[in-house]
Amino acid sequence: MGQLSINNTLFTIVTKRGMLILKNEQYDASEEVILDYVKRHLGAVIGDPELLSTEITMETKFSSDLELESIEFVALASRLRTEFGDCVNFVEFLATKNVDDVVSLNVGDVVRYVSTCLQREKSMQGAMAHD
Amino acid sequence: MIEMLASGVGLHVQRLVPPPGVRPSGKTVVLLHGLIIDDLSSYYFTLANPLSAAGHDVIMYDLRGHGHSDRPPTGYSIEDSVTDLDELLTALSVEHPVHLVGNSYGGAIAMEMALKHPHRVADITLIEGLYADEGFGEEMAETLGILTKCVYEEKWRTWIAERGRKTVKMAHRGVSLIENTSIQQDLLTTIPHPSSTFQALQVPVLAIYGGESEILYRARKLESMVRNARLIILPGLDHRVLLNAGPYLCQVLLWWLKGRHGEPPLWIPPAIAFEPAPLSRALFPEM
Repeated sequence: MGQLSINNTLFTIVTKRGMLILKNEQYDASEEVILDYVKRHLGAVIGDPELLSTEITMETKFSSDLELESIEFVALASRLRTEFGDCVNFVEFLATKNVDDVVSLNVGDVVRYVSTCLQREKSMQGAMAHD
Repeated sequence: MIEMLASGVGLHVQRLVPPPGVRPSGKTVVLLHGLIIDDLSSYYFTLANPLSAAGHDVIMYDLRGHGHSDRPPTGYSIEDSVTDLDELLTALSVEHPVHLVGNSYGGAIAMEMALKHPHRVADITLIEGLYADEGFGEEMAETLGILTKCVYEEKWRTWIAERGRKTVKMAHRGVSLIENTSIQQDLLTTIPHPSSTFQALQVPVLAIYGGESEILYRARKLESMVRNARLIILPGLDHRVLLNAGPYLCQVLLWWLKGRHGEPPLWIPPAIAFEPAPLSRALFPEM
């Protein structure tokens, strides 16, 4: 068993019935770890030193606290998809939300959504590995 | 997110394909946003999801100088906008005719694309759309001048500052686009099309305008010029139709793309009138 990094994503290599399987370690990421990723990408998207000095928590609101522009939210969503893979699909996340809902989102909503996606992907891959 | 090069300029593109389990319609819809204070997010949070959920391939991008696309100092004429769109479609390997949706200035790009590259365009939906007729260039340049003037006026500086970082940033980026690029001059020198050019347009056009819009006269003019035009006027709305009537626009677009049989969906005007748009001419009677 070893580890391998592809596109900055850490995989654990396991063998199963003589086959090599890459296990994405990010699927087990806790909400705390995901929050760190969200903070890092928010920082890159916003790029405003003053704003970056404010503490970002699960309760921080994108609109009223961070004054995040809509296009910045689109960029954040893209970055998280690149970070965690296509299973983190914000199009699906936003499909059931109107503009007002999006405005009132907080960081925790996004962290929990990413966590749900990763858990779902993990169970799907687990099911495939057991086939 | 896809970064695409069109005419050597990096464009921020978002493409939504139909979700798993939804049969693709085979139709590609390209969403074109407005000038200066607009970007693809106007569509990302309104029309893009429902269109892709209905099976359409949806492409939206930030025009050069806008959103997260590059901002070169030159190349902001309507011809440049059309070249960017043409090259973008080539880069995305879209060869079949596309369904263009243009909001405000995005409408002018859609119309120009249909005039320059008719084989590329299946049909057009204008949302409060402009088009490059006589006086278009002067009108656009004047509007940009008003925007710049406002940002420097004490009254409007305070108004913008009170609205927080988001508005301040938007205003600064807008003014920087006007002051540091050739956009105002490029639009001013637009060569207008005579009515006969629009009369010869074969592409079907769906035109949606607000009943209280300052450019409602354009809707009437379009209807009289373009033989394949279908006009929908929404009482109770001003220029901000995309912002204030997103769900209705989705219904109309789905009806339009599905073959536009029968009458379009019914518009129910808002119970309470919307406040006048900030920075609209209605707020500047002296200008």
